[in-house]
Amino acid sequence: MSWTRWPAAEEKKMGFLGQTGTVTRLGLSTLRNRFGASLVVVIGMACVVGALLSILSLSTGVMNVVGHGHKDRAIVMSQGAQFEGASTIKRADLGTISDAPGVMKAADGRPAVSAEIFSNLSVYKKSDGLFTFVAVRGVGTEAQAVRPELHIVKGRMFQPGKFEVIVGKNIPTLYKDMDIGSKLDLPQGQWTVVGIFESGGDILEGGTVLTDADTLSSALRAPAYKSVWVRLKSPADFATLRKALTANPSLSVELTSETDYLKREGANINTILTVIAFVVGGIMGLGAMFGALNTMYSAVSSRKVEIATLRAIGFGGGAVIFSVLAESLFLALVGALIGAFFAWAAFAGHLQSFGGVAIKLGITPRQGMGGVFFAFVLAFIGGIFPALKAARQPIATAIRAT
Amino acid sequence: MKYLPLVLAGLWRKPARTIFTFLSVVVAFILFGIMASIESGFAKQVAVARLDRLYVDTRFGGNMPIAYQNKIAAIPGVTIVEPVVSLNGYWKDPKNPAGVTMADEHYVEARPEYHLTHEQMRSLDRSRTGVIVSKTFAKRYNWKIGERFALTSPTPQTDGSKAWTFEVAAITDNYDFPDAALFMLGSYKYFDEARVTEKGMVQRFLVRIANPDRSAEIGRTIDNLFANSPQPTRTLSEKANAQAATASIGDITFFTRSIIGAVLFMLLFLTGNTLMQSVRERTPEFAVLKTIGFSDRGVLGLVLAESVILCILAGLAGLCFDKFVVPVLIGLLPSNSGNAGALLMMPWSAAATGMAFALLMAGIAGFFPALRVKRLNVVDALAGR
Repeated sequence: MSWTRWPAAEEKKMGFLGQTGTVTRLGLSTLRNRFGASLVVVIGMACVVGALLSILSLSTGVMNVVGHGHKDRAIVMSQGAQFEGASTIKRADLGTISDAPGVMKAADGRPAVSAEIFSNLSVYKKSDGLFTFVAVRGVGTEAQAVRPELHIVKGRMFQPGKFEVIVGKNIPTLYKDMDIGSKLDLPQGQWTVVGIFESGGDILEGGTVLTDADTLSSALRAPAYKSVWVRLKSPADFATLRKALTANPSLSVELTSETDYLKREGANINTILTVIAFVVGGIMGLGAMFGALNTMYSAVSSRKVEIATLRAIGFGGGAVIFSVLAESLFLALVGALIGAFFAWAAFAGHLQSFGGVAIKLGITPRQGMGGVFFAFVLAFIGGIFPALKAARQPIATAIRAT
Repeated sequence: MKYLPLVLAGLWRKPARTIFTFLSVVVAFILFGIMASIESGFAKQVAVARLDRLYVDTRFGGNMPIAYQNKIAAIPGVTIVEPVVSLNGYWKDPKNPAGVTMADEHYVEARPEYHLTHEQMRSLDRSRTGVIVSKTFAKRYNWKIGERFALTSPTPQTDGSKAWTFEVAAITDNYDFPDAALFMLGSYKYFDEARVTEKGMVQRFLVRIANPDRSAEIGRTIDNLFANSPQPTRTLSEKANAQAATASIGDITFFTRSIIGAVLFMLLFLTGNTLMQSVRERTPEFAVLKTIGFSDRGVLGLVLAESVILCILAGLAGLCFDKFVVPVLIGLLPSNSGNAGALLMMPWSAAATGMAFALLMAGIAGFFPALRVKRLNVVDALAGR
């Protein structure tokens, strides 16, 4: 170690920042002597951040699917129905809803509304061979005006009146026998897959089979529609349409914006996943924090003489505290980045069937930053007490310690 | 045993270090216990699911007529056909969901694990509003036998009211899955008379069959019977249903095991490092021990004993927390959190696995420090080299 780098003459002039920088550099330069102990912090943080982000990647996947609401789209359901499944819209009411103010007109001049109905289909997963359900949704002829993001990427659109369906992009990837040409077991016989569609990564693309509403409802012998989706002239027309619908005494319906509807659907599962992530991350974090405390206590104890010497030649206690904290945070940063990398490499972009909907796992930069921040908090707690101890130790005795 | 004070003194040499290591092992085992409980909870749901009980549901959604009951019952090999329909709603506040499964007398045979009697089920038909409530459900809302309560439901009654009044007639449990099941049973006869819509329509039939090996075959027979009817059916054994339900949540085993793996890996480093540090500091002491006659094996044993005592005590503390404190914490959760609690009940087998892991970890973490002490050269160590 070259002591000439810190000549005594300069010591008094060195400011707090200069002192801190010097002590930190000194600390980090001796880090390799404490390699084993330092590894505990790195591995601990890597495990905590890795586990936290792995669970959160599932929640990102869910939010990718339900976070695609459009403000200029709304859903009409019967009064009191929280979900489409519980709703019934009489066929006679469709005209009234279509003619209500605020509803956009499609290119062909007809109102952009889609009366919908659904059923389900049991499919077998390619991954484990077990069955799950995907939704089969009958949509109106103006469905593409209501959902402009919906377009065919392969094959063609279904024809109303025929037993034909189109499937979301991820469905053939995840489930067996769901590609173009496959025959599906739906009401009244075999329905043929004639096309594959994309709709901007939303819930339809992830787990829905689409077909014509009237064809499906006559096959199901269903007397009514489930819901009516409408495209609004502008998001501001939501209030206009809602007023018109609720004011009409012949209707008993409620209007919900798509954004709110999806939020209601996704909020629960997202909360559950976030809670799991933080319970697991929190418990593991507590363990890692105790590990960091251990490591940093042993670090300051092995640097006892060194720190006391620095104090003796005029370095302040604050500089020592900062340097110990900096070391702890540095180790945590390395660990957090390793953990984040592993979680990202293992899960980001991975396609999974989650409750019958294909979701694409992902880690957002915000989650990544959150993981690093969490590691910093743990490392701060793990570093501050040893740092205070180091700064407070009596210089005279510490310098003589062996 | 006579060396126990020596081992403890070794552990207590730096109390802060030992306490921190101890605490991180404790929290790691708390997490281990939770993950192992979740895994065994899901596994048990599949394990107790029966192959000789079939669920007949509608294939494309909606309800099916009760007339299916007699047609299914006529199939050879079928012993019991029980119609089931549920009334869903909430108690007092939408945050307190509650549902009543409406059934008849033969529910006794359809679900023998509920330990019901025919007389109990008949009494529901007589009193009309009587319900049998599972222990866990009754506890959740603090209902006693004789308690009267009203469920608010979207299903209207003939008098137009949407408030359904019930009275707790008896409390039972699912004895295949004790302390976890959430159910209420009511009288189908009463419900069908009182409801306005969907009269005579049911959601599901529970079918018991004599020979579990024939479940797939009988399932197909039932589905073929209704294939060309307005409401075709989909029949699956309870076991197939449970497997699919578990799998639809994602690969739980992979998920829980990854976390367990990460925790144990982290722990191994932490404990191993602490022991190594401690042993390194005490090199001269071990040299002295060897000088006064401790064998190589003896000192190796001392270090391993430290590791074992630390890990076993900490593992025990963590698992006890899971077994005794977590259930109390779950009791404090809001009532709408479903039966998450059922998944967090740690079975003794998971606790035993946890202790085995604690012991294994003690062995691995203590191995290298112990080896170092065993190989210690007395002369060099005493000379401080």
